[in-house]
Amino acid sequence: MRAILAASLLLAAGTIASAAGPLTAVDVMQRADALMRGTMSEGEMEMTVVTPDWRRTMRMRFWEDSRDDRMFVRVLAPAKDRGTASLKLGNEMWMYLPSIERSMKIPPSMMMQSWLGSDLTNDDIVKESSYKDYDHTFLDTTVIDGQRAYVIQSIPKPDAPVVWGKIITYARTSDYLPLRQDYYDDDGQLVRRMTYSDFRRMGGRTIPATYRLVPLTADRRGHETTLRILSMTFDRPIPGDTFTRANLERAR
Amino acid sequence: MKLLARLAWRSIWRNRRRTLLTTLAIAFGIGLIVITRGLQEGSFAQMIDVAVRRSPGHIQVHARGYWEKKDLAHTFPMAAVDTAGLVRIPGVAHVSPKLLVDALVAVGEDNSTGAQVVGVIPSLEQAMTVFGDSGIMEAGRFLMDGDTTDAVIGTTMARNLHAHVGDELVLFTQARDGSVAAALVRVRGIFHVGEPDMDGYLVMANLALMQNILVAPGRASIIALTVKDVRDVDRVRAGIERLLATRGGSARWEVMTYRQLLPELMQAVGFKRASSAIFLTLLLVVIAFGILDTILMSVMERFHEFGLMMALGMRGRAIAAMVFIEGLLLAVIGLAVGNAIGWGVNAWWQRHPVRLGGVAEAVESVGFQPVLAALPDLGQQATWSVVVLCMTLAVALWPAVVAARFRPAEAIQQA
Repeated sequence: MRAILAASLLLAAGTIASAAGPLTAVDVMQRADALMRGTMSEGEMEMTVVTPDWRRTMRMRFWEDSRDDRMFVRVLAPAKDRGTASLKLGNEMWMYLPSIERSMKIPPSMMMQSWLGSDLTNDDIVKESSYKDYDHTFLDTTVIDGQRAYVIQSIPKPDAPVVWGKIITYARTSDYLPLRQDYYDDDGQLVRRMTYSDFRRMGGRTIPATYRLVPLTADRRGHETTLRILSMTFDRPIPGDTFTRANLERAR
Repeated sequence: MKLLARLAWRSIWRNRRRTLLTTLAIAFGIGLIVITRGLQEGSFAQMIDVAVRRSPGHIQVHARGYWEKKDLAHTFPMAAVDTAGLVRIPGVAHVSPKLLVDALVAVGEDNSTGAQVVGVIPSLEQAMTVFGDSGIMEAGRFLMDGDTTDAVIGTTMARNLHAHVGDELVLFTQARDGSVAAALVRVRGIFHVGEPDMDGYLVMANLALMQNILVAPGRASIIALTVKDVRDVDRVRAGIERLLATRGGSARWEVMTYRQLLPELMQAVGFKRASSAIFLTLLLVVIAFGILDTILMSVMERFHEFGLMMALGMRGRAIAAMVFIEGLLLAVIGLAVGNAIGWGVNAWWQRHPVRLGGVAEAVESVGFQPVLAALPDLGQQATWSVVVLCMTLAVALWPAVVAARFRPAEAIQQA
């Protein structure tokens, strides 16, 4: 979830610390990151994947412990996929397949493959993408969907383990919450766009409840993935055995 | 004209030795070309045969768009193709439907890798591909039609996954409707093809099993076919297209031959063909000068004769035509002899392949048969014969013009 939630939640958390007013782009990212450390979150979401050939909606429950970089996702619906689970421990990921009652590790070579059929990659889920991996520059302010937004450019540092060439973030000037992120590849080609909307209070924080990811490469025309957070809580303790491989096989 | 031809025929036999040498030069040229091309085409045919038998087949039928996307959205109901009709098309040797998908495979919780899983009907696949060869299985055995919960994998994959015959193998991918697809199969055998992509990446399972887990009942990604004689491939392809014409035609289907299926190989073959064509053309140029020499000499020696003919009222043009016809006759005789010998050698070489000695093992290790065999090809022979014929006629042009320009009085005197 990091790649999706992190960016937004980091910034969301940033609002609390923004009393001193926005400084530089780095300050914004840094404060947000500092606040994000130690966050436990838990909730339910709905993922809708649209392709030219089919459309599917999955409901799932997720637990995240970003301090120890752990995450657990369990599919609740539809019935055919119910029980499928995904566990991330650091840079590793396992899947549980209830139909055959087996779990398997996702090999490093498959990290760029689709996560649960969506336009997100396993890498998106697993990568501990930190603001520290990028150099941030404040480019401009603009207006997106009628809201004033900072335009922040993030360029990966030379040795950063990052797959993008550049990320442009549009963050609301009012509370730094992201409205949009454009991802560019190493050749400077815009390859996907994430838009954030449906801002609402959940678990005591204001967050964007809908994330829409649209790949912009020719081979994925007509594809998109939408995540809707149905409910979410922050900083409630999560049982330690949630993030274990044994829990994968615990049918629910 | 008839008279000229008769005169030309007589003329060429007046100096038998020269005629013999000229026709021999032509025969040697065309014969060498025919044998070289035959051997080369023989080795190309072998390369293609090896590649084709590794799995793609000579011809594949896909739903339109499959080759570009290679996904489950472009599968088709097998009932939509008249599979029995395909088998009956003259020239078709074997037919094998397959369902292909990229997947994750794992042995135990921690050993996993990416793979291409191919669902096949084992007996059909074995009849058609290298998987029917004895010795292909390094351990265990190949699938049988009833093995619906089994798979075979390559040696490299087996090594990477620490998999052995009898181990449980997890297949995990996404079904045609986007849902999670998973299967638990048993490793029935481990194959070694000698092609890294296959030994490290390919998993084969029963078609029915794959259709089931991929939510693609009765569907296939490709129907692969082999032909009895590779030279018939276009004719068979046309036959398939005729069969499919009433079932949606080219808007719905794509029918590809190995030329499209194996682009890199065909490119390499094309390059070799082009470079050998250049080499052989150079060879022809050398031979052409020899022919030019003999025809020109024969004209020069016959000053007196031509002068006399002209004095008797024959026109320069007729003389030129006669010399030209002489060239044509020489070419035809030479070509006939050369083609006959070339074809004979090729045919013999096709039936009696030469086993390579010292390098046999090296050749075999990269998956080729260590034999040299020719492939007689009358089409090739016809093409090159036309080239040689045109060349001889072009060369005869100059002596013909020279002969036509004689002044009768001078010519007679000179002699």
